[in-house]
Amino acid sequence: MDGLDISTLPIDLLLNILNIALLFLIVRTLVYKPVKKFMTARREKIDAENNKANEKMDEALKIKTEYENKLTAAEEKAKEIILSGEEDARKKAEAIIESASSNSASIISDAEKQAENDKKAALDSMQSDVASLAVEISEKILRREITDRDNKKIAENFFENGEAK
Amino acid sequence: MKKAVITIPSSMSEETYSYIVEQTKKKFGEETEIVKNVSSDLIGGFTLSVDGNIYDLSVKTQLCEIEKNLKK
Repeated sequence: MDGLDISTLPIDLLLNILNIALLFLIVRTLVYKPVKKFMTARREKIDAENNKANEKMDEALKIKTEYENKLTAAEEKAKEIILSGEEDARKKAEAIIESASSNSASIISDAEKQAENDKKAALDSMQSDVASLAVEISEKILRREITDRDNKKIAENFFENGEAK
Repeated sequence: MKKAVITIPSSMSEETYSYIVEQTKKKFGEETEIVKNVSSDLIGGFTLSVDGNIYDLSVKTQLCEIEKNLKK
């Protein structure tokens, strides 16, 4: 086969090839570049928003951690306050019990002393009553039994022996 | 002149009282003035008061002293 003879090629084919090339240049210039530029900008925008979202996520995690730490500390503090309150209440209860015990011992001691005093007073009163009664009975008996001879004997003892009070 | 007050129970006989008067004059002097005092409170015995000196020989007083000792 001989070489390609351009003069033999149909002009339509050449025009078609030229049109295609021209169309390619136009499309590349007017469509591809703007679209590529738009896509690149969109990608950058999405990346920037992703980065921003990640930063906010990190910040949110940081805040969450911070609040969790604060919550843990608050719980510890609450436990400490409760334990402290229980200890205070226990000490107060012990003090109240001790005070009540001391008071009851004092009350019992006072009651025992009072009972002892009452008993002594009752015995003294009884002794006094018995003495008065004995003397009263003796007086009645003596009034009946003492004779004039007894009176004379008393006088004789006094004047002869000096027995007197 | 001395003065003697003799307090006797109502049950005492005149004989016993006379003995007391006689012995009082003998003890404190024949010129001693005697004052008789009869007390129904006395059970027995007598009391003699001469110039502020009191000789208490009454049974009542002895009973009172016994009562005091019993109440101690």
